[in-house]
Amino acid sequence: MRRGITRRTLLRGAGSVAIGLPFLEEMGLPRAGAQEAAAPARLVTISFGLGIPAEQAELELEGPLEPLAPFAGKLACFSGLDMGQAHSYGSGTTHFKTGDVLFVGEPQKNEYTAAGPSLEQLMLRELHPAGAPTRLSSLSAGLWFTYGAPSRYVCHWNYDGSPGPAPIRRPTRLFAQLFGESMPSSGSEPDRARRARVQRSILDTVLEEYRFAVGERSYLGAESKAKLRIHLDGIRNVEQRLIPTETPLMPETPGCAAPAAIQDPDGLPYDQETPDTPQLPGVFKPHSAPMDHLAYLEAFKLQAELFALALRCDLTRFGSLLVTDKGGNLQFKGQYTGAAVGSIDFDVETATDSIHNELFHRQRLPEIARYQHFTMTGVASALAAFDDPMFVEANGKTVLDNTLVVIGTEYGLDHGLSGVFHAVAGGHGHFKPGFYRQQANVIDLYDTLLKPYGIRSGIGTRHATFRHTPQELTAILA
Amino acid sequence: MAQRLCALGLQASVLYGCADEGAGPAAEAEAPGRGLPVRSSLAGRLTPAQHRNIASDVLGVELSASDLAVAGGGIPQEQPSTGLFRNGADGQAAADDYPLAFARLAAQIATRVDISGLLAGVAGCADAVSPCEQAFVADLGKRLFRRPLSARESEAFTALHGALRAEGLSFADACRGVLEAMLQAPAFVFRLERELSGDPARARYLDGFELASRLSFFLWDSAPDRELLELAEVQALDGSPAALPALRRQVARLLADPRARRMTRELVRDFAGTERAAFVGVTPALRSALLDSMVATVDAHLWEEGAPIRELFTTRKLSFDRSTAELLDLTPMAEGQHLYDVSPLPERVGWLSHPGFIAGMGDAQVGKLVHRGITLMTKLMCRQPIQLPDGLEATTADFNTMYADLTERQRSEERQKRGDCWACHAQFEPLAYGFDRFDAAGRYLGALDAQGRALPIDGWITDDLSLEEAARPRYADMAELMALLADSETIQSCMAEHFLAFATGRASSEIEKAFASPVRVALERAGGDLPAMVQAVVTSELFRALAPAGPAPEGQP
Repeated sequence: MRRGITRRTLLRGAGSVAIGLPFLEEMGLPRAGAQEAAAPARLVTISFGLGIPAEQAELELEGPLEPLAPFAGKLACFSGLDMGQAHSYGSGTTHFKTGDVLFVGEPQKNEYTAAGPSLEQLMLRELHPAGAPTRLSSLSAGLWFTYGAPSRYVCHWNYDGSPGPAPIRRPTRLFAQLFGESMPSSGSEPDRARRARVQRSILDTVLEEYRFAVGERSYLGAESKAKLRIHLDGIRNVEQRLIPTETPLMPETPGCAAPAAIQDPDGLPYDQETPDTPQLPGVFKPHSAPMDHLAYLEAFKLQAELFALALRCDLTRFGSLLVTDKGGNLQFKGQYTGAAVGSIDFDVETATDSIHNELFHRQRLPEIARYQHFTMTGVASALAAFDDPMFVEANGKTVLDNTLVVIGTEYGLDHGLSGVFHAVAGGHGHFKPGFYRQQANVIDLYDTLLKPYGIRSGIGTRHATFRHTPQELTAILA
Repeated sequence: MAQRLCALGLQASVLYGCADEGAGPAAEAEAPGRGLPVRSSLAGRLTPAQHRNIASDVLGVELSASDLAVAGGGIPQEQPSTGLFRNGADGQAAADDYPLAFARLAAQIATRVDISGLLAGVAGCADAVSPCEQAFVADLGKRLFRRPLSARESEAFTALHGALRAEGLSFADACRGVLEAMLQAPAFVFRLERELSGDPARARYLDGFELASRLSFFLWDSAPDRELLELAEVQALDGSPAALPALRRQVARLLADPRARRMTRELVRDFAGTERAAFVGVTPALRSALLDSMVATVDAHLWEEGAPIRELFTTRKLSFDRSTAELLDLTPMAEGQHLYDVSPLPERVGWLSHPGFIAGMGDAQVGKLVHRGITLMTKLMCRQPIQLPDGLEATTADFNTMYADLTERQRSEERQKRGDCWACHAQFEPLAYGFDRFDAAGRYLGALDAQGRALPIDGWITDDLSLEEAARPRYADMAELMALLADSETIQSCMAEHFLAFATGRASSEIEKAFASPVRVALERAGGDLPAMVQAVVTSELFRALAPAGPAPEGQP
């Protein structure tokens, strides 16, 4: 069985490939220098559940963060962040509240709605107010098996705070998203060109209806218009995926060649139903059957490779990857060993309970380190896919260098909301690598990250009391 | 067609078309607001079920479950939004995939529709070759958009027909193309109301088309039929008090139609949560059978017997099919749903003792009482649990470890001894004691558990938190619990609140809570059955009026 996208498939025998970058006028970066100006602004979040206790993040690369070592020169890590604002929202268990604050910054509006957009959607809207310049406005992929409120698995929050799509679980479905699919025919079958014109006429009429509905003469209120605008953005996807044109969906450059059909690694419940049942603290309810931990990492790696393909071929510039869901009750099989932290036998540790309860609720720090070392192996596979030196961009940098990658989690010290770990990779050279222990709120970090892109985030304006002084992490700015 | 409407001077054309794309309806002449404040409107995307129903009712196209399944490119199933029901406009997910799914389905429906039949139903289109595209656009548009097209819309879709004809498509295929576009247009995909019409400082009654739409989506989960639209068009129906008699007549007509069964199915599905059953051994087929049996139980009670809603809590007639009867070790009957008289089974009292409801409460093992108590409080009393204190998860894990050998009830009694736990748990846990002899599938365990320990089911209800705990109404068994629930004003108000939220397609809020009590009173006065509830809900101002979300667009009324 083929389980990955081989470089051979992608390169078709080519050597290192310089991928063409989008036109300058579509780029969102300030023209600080020629090299930076050649790279489009991209932002991808990578999230994982349950957190890394601050004392373990402070071991730097000699603890659970060890798998990130190959990227140390491109990585800024934070161990002292605070997400206490998650408690501002009234009811419910904390995991769905922190899930809403992660990459958004402010306490959620309600059980199903965040206070505003996640970072990548914020950058998308701020830099491209007329709509994304790419075929897919954004992309969300990852592995999740939890129940309950969407914040446990959704990473994409729209501009109005409504949840975006659940991450695509099956690598094969992600593949279809990138490489397109066919449209059922309606009525008699005209020739290809005529059919395209017919479809175009239909879609143009539809688009005009949406433009009117969100326009100044519409009778709809602001909230409804925001909802329709998101739908309008999605019609671009329809346009480019379903209307047959002579233009291929993927750029015809070597690095963007369609790999041969891929297969989903066996053993994961990709199609598991996710009933919306409340998850109570202390109640063991496994969210899936035990999963082979190697198959899990393999599936995530495959997703990350497809995601990297989408970035370097400019199918999208914004998105999110989910390594493990937030507050999930996962169970794994097999034994995992991290050089710096030792081994964890998942068969034993999750025989009768989940990782969540067995390790985190009981605060078994050595085992937590081993488990999150496993998670970081997943994160590292994504960074490796982005940082693949076989695919340098026109400015001589890798996709990782030319992408702001924000890595974050929901919990920190003592399974609480202080000492929360985040990291930043790539970022167009705007940030200084290193380990930062400074106490700050996640809002401060998010604001600081967006500033070099000319974005005043507005995050935290309603909740300024959560900020720390001096409200910016200037030490990380290059 | 729009021009024709304008020439006729009909209210519809004033509302939606003609020169200025809108003007105030007659319903605005008198404003609501002497009573409780009403809500502003919010665009709600059609659910898969609504999509399927409209395709069937308006276009005669039957969409199967696989047509609508995501795997086949269908519309993603809505999760319940901020409220209990999936038809709520609040908090709907929005993503790239949705327009794509609507586009795929639109193409599929346009391919399968009997276009000749559709054209034959349009005045002036006796056959599929007559040049009647304007009439076709106007007629189809009104059915799909649930109101007449504006002049702009009429022109746009007629122009589309012309463009497709110019590409060489036949008249009928060009009509299919128009249909495909309409099925993706915002006026079809979203339930829209004129949110910015009228004086922004005061609420207004719905116009006839808005009301017709609310009514049909509430009772049929579908678009209005021709009769509703015609009444709206001649101003015989709107949200104003003057139109209440006509509204009541239409409610009676819609309730008499078999499509009204969709309302109870949707309500019961989301209320019971049966599709979320996760007990060991459950299969999709069994989940589906449990839901069907639960719905059949409610249908038999409300539709066939016409019994009061509150008596759902005490009914001794529960429906089961073969698989659900076997689950409970009852004697299976022939295929299909059958009403069982469960009077000989003291544990089976009322619809909440149906395994479809119990299984829908989830499959918690440790913490079952807590889980069930919160579920019951949320669904029966419309109260949400308070914020959990910091560090609770670790405390709970320790507690459960410490008392791992105790029964659920014994653990609950330990919590009663801890003031910090019981301050919150007292609000809901005692409600669940009565269910302690049911397993996660709703099977009866008996008076003792597998280890021979007693499973007491006495407790008290917590509907009135102003009472001291010792003064709260107590029950000794399931029959007494259900009798208390049936008589509780809090619970009857909560049922009214659910109906109000479902009827308006919004998550429940303080506004729905405020209307719930008067609706309950009206319901009781009218006999307490389903038609009485529906009449009480639709005649409330919450259903008939909206608060403008802001000033009208410049130059518009």
